[in-house]
Amino acid sequence: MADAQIQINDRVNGKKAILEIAGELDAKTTPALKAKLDEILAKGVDSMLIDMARLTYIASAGCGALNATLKTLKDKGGKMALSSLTKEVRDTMDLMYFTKRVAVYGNLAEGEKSL
Amino acid sequence: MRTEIALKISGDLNELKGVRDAVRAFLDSTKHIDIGEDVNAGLDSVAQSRIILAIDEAVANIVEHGFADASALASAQIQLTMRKEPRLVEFEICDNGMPFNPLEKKPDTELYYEEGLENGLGLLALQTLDCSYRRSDQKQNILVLRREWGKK
Repeated sequence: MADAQIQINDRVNGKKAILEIAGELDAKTTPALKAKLDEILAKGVDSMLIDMARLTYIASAGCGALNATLKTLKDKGGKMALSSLTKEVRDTMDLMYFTKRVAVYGNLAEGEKSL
Repeated sequence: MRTEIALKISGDLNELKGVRDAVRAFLDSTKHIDIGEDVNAGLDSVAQSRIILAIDEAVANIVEHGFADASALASAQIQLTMRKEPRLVEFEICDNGMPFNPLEKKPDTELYYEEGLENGLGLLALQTLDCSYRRSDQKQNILVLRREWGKK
C-alpha cells in the first residue's frame, strides 16, 4: 500500500505567500507541511493564503500545523485565509472550528485579492 | 446481509493511509449492497468522510499516545473490525496500549486557538458518531463507533 503523499507549491512575494497543498494531510504527512510553513514564516511573511483545491483529506494534525502558523501570523498583525476547500475538507475544518477563525474563499483568485 | 472485515494495524503512522483506504472501500462496497435493499440506505460523501476521519484520528491517537516507549510501540497490536449490519455500520478498534477512554477527554477549543496549539482537537471527530468505550479483561481498549444507514 502506498504511503500518504503531500505536495506543496509556494509563491512568496514580500510579506505575502500563497501555498497550494495537494494530497492528504494526516499525522504522517503533516510534519512536511509544518517544515514548509516554518520556512515561509522565517522569510518574514505575515499574510498567507492556503489553497486546498487538490487536498483530498485533512486530519486534526494538519489543522494543528495551520493553527500554530495562524497564531504566529496574528501575533505579527497579519492573517491567514483559505481557498477552494472540497466539501469533505470543509466539513472537517468546520468540525474543528478552524473555519470560524479564518476567512474562506471559493477559489484561489478570490483569496489572492484578499491578501 | 451481514459483512465483517478485520484489519490488523501496527504501531506506525504509515499505516493510516491504508486504514482510511480500507474504511472507504468497505463503505463503498456496502453502499452498493444496500441500495438494493433499502432506498434510504447508503451514506453521502460527507457522512463517509466523517467516519474515515474518526477512525483515522482514533488510530493516530493510539499510535502517538497509547504506548509508553518505542519498545512498547513496537509490540502494538491494533485491530479494526468493520461490520455491516442491516441498520448500521459498526467499527470496533481494539488496542493493547495503556488504558485510555477517548470519550472522556473534552477538547478545549478556546485554549487551542489562543495558544496556537498543534494537538488537542482530533477526538472531536468522534462526536459525529455513536461511540462507546470499555477496557476488556484482556487489558485491551475497545472503542466502538456506530453510524446508522441513512441517518442525517
